[in-house]
Amino acid sequence: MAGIALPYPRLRGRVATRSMPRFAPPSERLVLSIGGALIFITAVLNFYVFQLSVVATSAYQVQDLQREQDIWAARNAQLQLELAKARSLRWVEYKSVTHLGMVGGEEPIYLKVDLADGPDWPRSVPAPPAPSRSVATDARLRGPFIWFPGNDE
Amino acid sequence: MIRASNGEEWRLVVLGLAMAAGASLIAQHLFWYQVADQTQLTEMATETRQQRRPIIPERGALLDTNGRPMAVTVTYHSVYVLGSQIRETEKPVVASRLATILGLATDQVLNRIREAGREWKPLAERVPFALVSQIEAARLPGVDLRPAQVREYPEGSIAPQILGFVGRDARGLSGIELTMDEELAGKPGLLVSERDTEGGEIALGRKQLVPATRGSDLVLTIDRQLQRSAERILADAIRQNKGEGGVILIMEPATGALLAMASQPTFSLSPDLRIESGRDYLYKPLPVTDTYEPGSVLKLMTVAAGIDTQTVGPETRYFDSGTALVDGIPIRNWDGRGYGTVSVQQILQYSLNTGAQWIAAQVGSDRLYQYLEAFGFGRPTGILLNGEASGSYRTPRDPDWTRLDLATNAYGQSIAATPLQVLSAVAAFGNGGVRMRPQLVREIRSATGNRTVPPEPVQSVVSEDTAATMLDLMTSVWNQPALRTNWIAGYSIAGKSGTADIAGPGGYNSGKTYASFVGLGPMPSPRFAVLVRVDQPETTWGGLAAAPALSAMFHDIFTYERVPPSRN
Repeated sequence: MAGIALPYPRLRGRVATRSMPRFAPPSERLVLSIGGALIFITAVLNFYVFQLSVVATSAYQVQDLQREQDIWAARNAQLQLELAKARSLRWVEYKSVTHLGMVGGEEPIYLKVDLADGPDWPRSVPAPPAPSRSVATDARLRGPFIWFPGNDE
Repeated sequence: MIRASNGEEWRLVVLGLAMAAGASLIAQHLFWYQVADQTQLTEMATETRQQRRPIIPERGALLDTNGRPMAVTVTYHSVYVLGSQIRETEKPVVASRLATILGLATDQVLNRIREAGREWKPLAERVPFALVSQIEAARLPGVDLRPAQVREYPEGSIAPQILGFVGRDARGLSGIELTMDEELAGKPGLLVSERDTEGGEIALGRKQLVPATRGSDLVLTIDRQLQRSAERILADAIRQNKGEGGVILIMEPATGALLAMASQPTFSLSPDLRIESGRDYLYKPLPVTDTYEPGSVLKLMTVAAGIDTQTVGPETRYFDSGTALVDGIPIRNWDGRGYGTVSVQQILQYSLNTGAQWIAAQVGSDRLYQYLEAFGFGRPTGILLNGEASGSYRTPRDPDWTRLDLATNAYGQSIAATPLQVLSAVAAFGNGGVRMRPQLVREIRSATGNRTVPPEPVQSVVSEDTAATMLDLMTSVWNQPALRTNWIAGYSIAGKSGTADIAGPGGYNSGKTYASFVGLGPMPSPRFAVLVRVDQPETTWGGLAAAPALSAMFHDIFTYERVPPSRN
């Protein structure tokens, strides 16, 4: 294998007069090793860049999806509000009067049912469950029971 | 080596010193930047590329006693534009597209985009969802959708002075919104991330995310049906009596729960509420913050004190000449008449001032004031509303107290109390003599679980027997023929009227009154206590101005609560 003559600068003075070290030509194996290492590093870097790109793209997609989720969550809350408005007293009264032509109710009629006359009615009625809410609410929950003897006011 | 001549050496020395000085200055600055101010400068550097964005939690809802929402927070989106992100040639296109979607004029949108240089500017607020979707799909440059929380009222304006309202920062400013703000507001979160040049979050630059904790929902004791009914009846009563305002309160004697609290003048709750300066009185809960002289309703406390101390009984006799002299000052009945020999029961039925002052004198000042204190007069009830007044009256401990104070206090003059204090005191008769703390919040529902707020007894004011006797006496008051037009067929009510003169600059001669009526029903086991007050009615008297409204209120309560009639 022929050696490669490498030029080196001509130096003046004492330095120039000293003999310069001669570089041995790199072996083919070394060149291949360095080349391989470079290719490997390039591949690794490319993979890293590719992975970073994919992750970044995914992250922005996730961000978009989160944004979309927020919009839908807001929409859900808006629909629940619409539902609550449709169930509100004001709306129900408006609809019942203007659209359905309803009028104010007359006095309620309360019937006192004699327990003994009801053949299919159990003589011993279990007490309603212990109230967990107010007296006001309990009264409504107990609605059908309030005519039983003992609960009559 | 370079050698300098003697003449040049000093210049080299000076140059060397100058360079050394310069180098030391640089070294000093490097020390400052990298060591001494390192923390501060690092923070500044971080600030330029990092953002700490608070995450505002969703505010909890206010629900009525049956869980119906009365105030909820809903997120809407606002459209923002940033001029610098849109190329000059693209601006008309973006403006045209936005204008079409939002239904705005293209010129208006274009001007807004040009106004917004490097700063995001709002273009439209509370944009409907359909339009938000279109804008999102259009993916226009320099256009952003930002969420904004809005307090909404599904029931419309209901119980405005109780619910209160929030400011632009979503923090409570009045009513329950203020007093329970900490529970309702929740806990803010935090997002720390790197940001781009426009302040947007860089997807991979997220450093820290602390999620916000949603505020708790509050289940109030207010029943929307009864509240709406109370507001309607009050408005009718004020209109029919040509009054200036009024109050209706409904309470459960057994728990102290307030089922309704209506008062006028008031304001209308809406998401676009604008506070009118100079009309602050509209926004406060008047039945809690404002005092009045309750008038004859207070005779109930005087009689209760007499019976509980066994000083008098329902049938104890008293001779009423129509005038009683106290420290030389004549005390007269409301109609100026003398009723002759009357019982304590008749003192209440005829609402005799002279009789009330006689009972007070029999009980004695020390004991009577002890009872007034026990009934809750002169101190706040502790309801969860801001600005509660304690009320006031003179006692023998005060230097300017006279026996005339005792006499006038006995029939509800010279004593200031809130309507809530009066109702709370009277409701004790319907609860075996035990006064309950007025309750507005029944349950707190949070992410960590639900917490029931139990009823809180404050004090046993009178014995059960005395309470039962008082109910009988009040029933006899309601059953007198003068109130026949207000009777509700099939139901019995216990009640007492009150008419208090409003003091003017020259004393009690303004001719204006607070006409009130307080009642408990259905008898004999009262579940509801109601107070109605009409301010400055044309008809003056509580029995005329307030009793019909009380009757109407009880009628609605009995129908709604399905209370069956107890008599023919």
